[in-house]
Amino acid sequence: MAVAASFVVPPGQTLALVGPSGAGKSSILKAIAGLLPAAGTVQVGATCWHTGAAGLPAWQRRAGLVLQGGGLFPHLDALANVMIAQTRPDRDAAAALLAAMQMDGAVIRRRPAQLSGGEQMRVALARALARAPEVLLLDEPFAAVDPPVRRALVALVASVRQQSAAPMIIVTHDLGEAAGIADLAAFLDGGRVVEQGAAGRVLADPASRLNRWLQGG
Amino acid sequence: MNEADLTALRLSLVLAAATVALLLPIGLWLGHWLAVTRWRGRPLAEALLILPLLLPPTVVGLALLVGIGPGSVIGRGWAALTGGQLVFSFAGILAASVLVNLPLMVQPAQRAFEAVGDDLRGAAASCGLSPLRAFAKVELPLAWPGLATGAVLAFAHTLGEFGVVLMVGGAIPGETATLSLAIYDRVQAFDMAGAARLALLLLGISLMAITLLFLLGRKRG
Repeated sequence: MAVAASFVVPPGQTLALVGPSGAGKSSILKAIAGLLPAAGTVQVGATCWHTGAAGLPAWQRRAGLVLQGGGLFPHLDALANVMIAQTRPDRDAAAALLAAMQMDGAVIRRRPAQLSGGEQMRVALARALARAPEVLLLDEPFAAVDPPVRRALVALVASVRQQSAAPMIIVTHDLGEAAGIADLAAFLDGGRVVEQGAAGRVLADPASRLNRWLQGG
Repeated sequence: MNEADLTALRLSLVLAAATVALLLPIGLWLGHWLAVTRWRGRPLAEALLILPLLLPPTVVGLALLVGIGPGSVIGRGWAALTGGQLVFSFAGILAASVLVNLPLMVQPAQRAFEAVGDDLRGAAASCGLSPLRAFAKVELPLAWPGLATGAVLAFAHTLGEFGVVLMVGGAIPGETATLSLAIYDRVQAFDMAGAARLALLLLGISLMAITLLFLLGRKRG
């Protein structure tokens, strides 16, 4: 499905991409990261990552990407999963990033299969920060975890927001949890952004498309 | 075992090892390419690659006799390069063995690289790993069991290969007469006990190779 979207996320701000399954939210993140073919422009700071049908290869884009489920490398332990994303591998810096995500001690030497869903997401967040990203792209970071873990992850993402000035885009089904973090919200439906604006305004407007969708309308 | 049997055994082991050594880089590249390509002709490429496994050895042997024979482009090129002919030589049965075993190497490699998945490839790219580094640090460590499976299967299958080797290599002692051909010769000479001894030897080596594969898989699991 072709996805059409246009938005600007200023430094230090967070855009929540909300919409039904199959609306194209994850495709937008992957296109920004260079993992899907795209037509158009992706400008990050002063650098143009993509214009027309051509762009920088994905590995040259400094995007901190957190995939659904974490996307951790199963053959590496948590520490190595973070170190692999560092430009110059630094064990102490990687351990510090994990500690900031409340992962320390023996748990950082465990492989993803030995970690809970919440722990995997913490490692994925630490890995996303390891490259000093120019943009943070989080795909459903709160899905597939229990509510108490979800609340802790929301707090962690808020702390990530404080640590990095990079623009952040979060794909989420549940805007309620992202509301405290998101400055902007865009509602996608059928591959198009049908509504966007300040998150507070969109959420407060009962007639907005977003609110009607959230209420099952 | 007499001297001729030992020579046949040595030849079979060298042929199997050389086949695997040549197939590993080919299987690695082809398996990876088939796993990631979005080329529309992929099903045809996959079908062509599996053909050597499905066709009767006589058909593959005949195709090779024509394709690498003294009158062929490859055969003439080989003769200009080495002064000898490719058919009825060790190099000829090695080429035949590589072709016949190609699907056994490529199929498990392809499945293993497919199992890595686009998400992990994407994660590797977004970690700043170039395609080559992503291959070395992420894809290869995850896919090696598939490559090992292909290598062991190709090794064991080469030891037992009969029809194609006979057609392309004849049965020249010390050059193309492998262990499986030696068994055939023993049967033809009504030396059933000798044939059984060689068959048991072949069975033992193949069993060891496959057991090693399962042991590795179990250790990894």
